Amino acid sequence: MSFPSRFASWCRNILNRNAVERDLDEELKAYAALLIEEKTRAGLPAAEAQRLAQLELGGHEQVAESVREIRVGETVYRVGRDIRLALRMIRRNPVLSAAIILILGLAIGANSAIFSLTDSWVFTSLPVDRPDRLIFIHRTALDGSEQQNFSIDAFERLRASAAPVAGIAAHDFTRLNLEVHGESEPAEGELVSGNLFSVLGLSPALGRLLDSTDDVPGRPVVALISDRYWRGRFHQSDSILGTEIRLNGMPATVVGVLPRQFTGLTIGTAEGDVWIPLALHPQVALRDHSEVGLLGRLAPDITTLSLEDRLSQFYRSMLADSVGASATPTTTQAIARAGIRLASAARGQGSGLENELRILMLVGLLVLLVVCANLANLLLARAIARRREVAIRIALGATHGRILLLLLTESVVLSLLGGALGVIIALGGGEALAGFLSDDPRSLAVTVQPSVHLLLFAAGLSLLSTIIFTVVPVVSLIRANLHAALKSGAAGARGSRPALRLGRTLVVVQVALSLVLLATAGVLVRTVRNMAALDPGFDRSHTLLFAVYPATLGYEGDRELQLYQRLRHRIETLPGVTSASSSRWRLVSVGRDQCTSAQQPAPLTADFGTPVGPRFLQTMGVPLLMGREFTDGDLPNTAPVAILSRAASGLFFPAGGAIGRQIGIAGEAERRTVVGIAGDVGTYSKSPLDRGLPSCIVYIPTAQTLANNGGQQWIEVRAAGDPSTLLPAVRGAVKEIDSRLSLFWPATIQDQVRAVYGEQASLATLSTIFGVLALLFAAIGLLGIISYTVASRSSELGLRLALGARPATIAFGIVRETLVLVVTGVVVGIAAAVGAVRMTSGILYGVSPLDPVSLGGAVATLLIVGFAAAYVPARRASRVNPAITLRRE
Amino acid sequence: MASTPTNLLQGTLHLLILQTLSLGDLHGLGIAQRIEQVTRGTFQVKPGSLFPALHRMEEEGWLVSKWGESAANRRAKYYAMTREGRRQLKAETEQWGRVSLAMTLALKTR
Repeated sequence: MSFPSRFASWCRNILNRNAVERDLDEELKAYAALLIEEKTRAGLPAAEAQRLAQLELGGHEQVAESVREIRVGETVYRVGRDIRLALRMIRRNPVLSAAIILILGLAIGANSAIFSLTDSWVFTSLPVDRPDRLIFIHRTALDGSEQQNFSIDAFERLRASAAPVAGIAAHDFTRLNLEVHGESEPAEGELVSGNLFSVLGLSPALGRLLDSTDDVPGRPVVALISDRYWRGRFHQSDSILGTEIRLNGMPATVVGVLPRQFTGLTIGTAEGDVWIPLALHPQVALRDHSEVGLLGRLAPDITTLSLEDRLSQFYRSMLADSVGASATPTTTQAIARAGIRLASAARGQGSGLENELRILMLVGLLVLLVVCANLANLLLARAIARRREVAIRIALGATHGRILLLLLTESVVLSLLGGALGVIIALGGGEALAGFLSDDPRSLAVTVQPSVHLLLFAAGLSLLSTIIFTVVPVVSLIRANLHAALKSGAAGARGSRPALRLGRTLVVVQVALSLVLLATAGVLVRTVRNMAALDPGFDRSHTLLFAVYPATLGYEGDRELQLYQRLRHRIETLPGVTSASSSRWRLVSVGRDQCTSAQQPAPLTADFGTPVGPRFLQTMGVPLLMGREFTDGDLPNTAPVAILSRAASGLFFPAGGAIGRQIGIAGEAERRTVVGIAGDVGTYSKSPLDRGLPSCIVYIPTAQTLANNGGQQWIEVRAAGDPSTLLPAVRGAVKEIDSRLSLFWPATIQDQVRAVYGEQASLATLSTIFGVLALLFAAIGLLGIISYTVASRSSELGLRLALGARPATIAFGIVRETLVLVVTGVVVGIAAAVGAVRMTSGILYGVSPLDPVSLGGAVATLLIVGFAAAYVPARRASRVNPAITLRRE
Repeated sequence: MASTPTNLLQGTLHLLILQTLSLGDLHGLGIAQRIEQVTRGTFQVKPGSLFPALHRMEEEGWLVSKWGESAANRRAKYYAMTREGRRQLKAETEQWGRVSLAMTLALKTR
């Protein structure tokens, strides 16, 4: 009711405070005057009337204060006054304040950027209906391994089971050659069961989504496109609906566009440009999609555990059925161990960068702590310098609480300014960081936006830093005897022992944290160096690769084989090309497991072969140790041949003499004659365990194993010079042979190798930057505290010099004092590093988390820095002029 | 007994001020003296509670103030009741009646 009136008063009290105050003052004076006049009129003498009136009034200022206290908006005014006072104090010391804001801004900005990445990659839920009820369905297979794929048959049967689930959907990715209006380009496809979108609970941005009626074999092909693809490729045109496109040569109709926020089942990456029904995969897909990933939605009131139980029972009975009566006790036992595992799908599939982000977050927070410790020291020094001011304020009646509040306001203002700068840095730096962390262009789906989370996080950090870097020094200052400061003279700075002790503790903390950061950076850098130095066994500087998927254009059998041959020959005629070849897989991604069961079931039989074209070893720069390469003469109708890698040759023919011997490939009727032995190729596995170990490879001619080629092929081009400059000519040559052929993932071999450890390399760089920053801060902190010690002890030192102490002894004392601090920090730091560095173990290669070189290097660096930081003050201490310092006493 | 000064309850002071002003505009001292007079000295309103109350009521929109001249030609700030204040007086009077009746009943019951 009275709100408008109160609001008007509020505005007046805040905006027109001077007038309000003047009015109050006059009103009270008028009251007093009236009172005095009445008393005089009643016959009292003037002086007595005034005394009595004063008594009755009870003090002008007290009454005014009691009125102020009830005023609306008074609290706001008082906070504002403190802030203005704080701003004035900040402006009085602009360089120091700017430095604090900048340092804090950088630290908070770095942390906020890391946080917002983590937020969008790790903590965000899928933008679907009730993501917490979504689950990924995995299985424990008969061999005890955890598998994420199911046969389509198993999917159908699970879906038809009576398990309490609100829907089970299947998905798999596929590679598409997409033709729109006669132009072709590569696209990422997703094959999905018709019910996927209803299980997710999504609605379309345009048109309609897929449903079960689309997901029937033999139906006309319909497709959805992602919002990103719609914007990028079709300029957001509504006429996209009903557009005819060709997917791998098959005509398809676009029926809808997915909502913008839904970028696929992995958060942070834009997978799936085109979404098509799973049942249509025989018509469209390149490879056999008989295995799919499963996603389900829990029925209401069902827990994950109980559903897992029900599905597991069903799955075991399915396995038992398939084995039938022939079950051996071993199989029965294996079936009993098999089952279904459910994993929450609320956050989608992992981005694969969780480890890296966790380490980055740790590193960022450590840097922030170092910064806070440093700022605490800075402010402590300033607070000590301001002891006299504070003491005067206390003497004039300010309470300790009031002073604490004032100093706190000042720090809060500083850290909020730093925090604001941090948010700006985070917004600008977050995307750069994302790009830096991941080479995958699809990660661009991540955008760092000013989210509520981000702002809260930055504000929280600012607050936290305020508490760390203000409350500690201020409280210790107030605890120290302030009145003593007033009594002592300028040299009284010597007094504050507790403050100095706190300053030393803070320096020890900084040294310890720096050690942790440097040790972390050390092991990461060594990991990257190890990976870069890893000899892959092939030449890394002259090869260009790309993939083609001719099966999408109807190439089959002989025609496919001829296409590869024509491509090789045409490319080899290009200037600057020394040779060209082709292969089923890239050497970068060849696994180690080709010969795991080399001796069984049949002797001298490999699990599978690696199909390659003629002159493959020459093109890749893999040395041919013995025998010959494949040639254009190795054809389906000529004698079956194979080339062994040295590791394979050692495994199959330990006694040597492999050339001319026979070897089998599992599933092949005819045995092959070994015609050559190739140098070993190292594995670039993501898993650090088998990284760098020589792969056991059995090369076979592409022409002799056409069925296994899957209609796709990598084409390798060896250049005389820089391979990257060849790409336009190579692209032209490919289009010349068939204009519809798309080049998938063209890149130099060097880029492809680097992509394998690119994330670790970025992380190592960032950690090093952070580590050096922390080191710098620690050095500044050390220098500051030692200089301060020297300054505060100058009279003592002067006296000692006057009494005949040698300058070197004095200097040595200072250095020793510094090193005591550093060594204490190092000891604490080693203990902390042992705990912290363990977090990195998941991504290290060729170096232990407690790598003595990294740890020792960090310790040595800190000792050197500590010594350097002690040098200047120690020199100054030894040159103290006794006459001057003693005169001051 | 009538002359023993008694402490005022916060709400009671508002009611007394409104009642006083319902008879005509007054300045601060006038209000204090009128209250002391009509309650025969039971309530002596000190400036320390009078002024906060007046300003709060003005902020609530029950009173308006303007500068004027006192009987003796002195400048003084006069307070007048608004329509809002009159409504408040009515509501508070009724409320007070209920409370005092209830209190009387409660104290009579043995």
